[in-house]
Amino acid sequence: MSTSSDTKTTDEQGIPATMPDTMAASNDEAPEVQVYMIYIDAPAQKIWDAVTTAEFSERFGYGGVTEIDLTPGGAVRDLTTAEMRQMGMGEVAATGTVIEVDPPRRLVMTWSPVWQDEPETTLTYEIKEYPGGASCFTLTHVLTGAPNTAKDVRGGGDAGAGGGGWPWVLSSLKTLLETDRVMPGAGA
Amino acid sequence: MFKALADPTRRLLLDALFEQDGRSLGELEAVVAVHSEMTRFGVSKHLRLLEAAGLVVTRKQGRVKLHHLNPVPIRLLHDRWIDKYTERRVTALTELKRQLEDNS
Repeated sequence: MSTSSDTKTTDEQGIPATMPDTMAASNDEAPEVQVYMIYIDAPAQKIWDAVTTAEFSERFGYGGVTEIDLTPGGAVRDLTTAEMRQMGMGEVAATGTVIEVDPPRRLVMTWSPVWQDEPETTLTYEIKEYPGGASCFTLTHVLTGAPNTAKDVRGGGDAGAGGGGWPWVLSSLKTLLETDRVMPGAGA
Repeated sequence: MFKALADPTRRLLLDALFEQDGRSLGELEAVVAVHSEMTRFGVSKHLRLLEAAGLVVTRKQGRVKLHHLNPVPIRLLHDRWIDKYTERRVTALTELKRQLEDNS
């Protein structure tokens, strides 16, 4: 698509890389509402199972067992891996409560990591399957008043040192579901 | 995705969302207006292209559509190339080990 008809004065050099001061927010801050979207060549039910049952949770992301009681008010627990426990963490990495369940399309729950003393955050998983069997998985994380948790889940750090956040977790989920392989560095 | 990144206005829009995520079309239009004269339609066209490339995701909040930066495609690209690089390095080292052991 040509863009020349839309612009009158823009050219390759015409736009400075930095925002004017009035627009600048601190780059040290992660967004309070974060949205992640990934297409996965897998049916919705398979993605749903992967993100809600212990069967898959040790094979992608940070590898801890995920326990979710899939009823409104049900408990959510992300357990630690052996490696995390060696680093001095307890049995549980994060806790939460299920708010809304509509399998295999939508799950809303609260989520609090034990390593941050901040208000609960809200996680929404939405899965939309397309004809042909591929699906779009959207994760929305609302982190009002939890700037440190927001930074932790945003990613952008060294994935090898646990800094991959949601982008890395979802990347490893895609690898697992499409190839049945655990992405290097992911899983328990 | 590379096509989506290959335009200065679209890079400006991504920069703007990196500075402050979750903005409406009107807010993003104001950012672009600082740098060039572009119609709302033009800005919206660029945003749709970024959305099609998966780099921007929209979310409705009341009657306003908010635009969010989606960092996942960048991560996928990174994983793909870093994996390839690591794989090759590991293969090279395995091969070196084999040669050294064969010679001894």
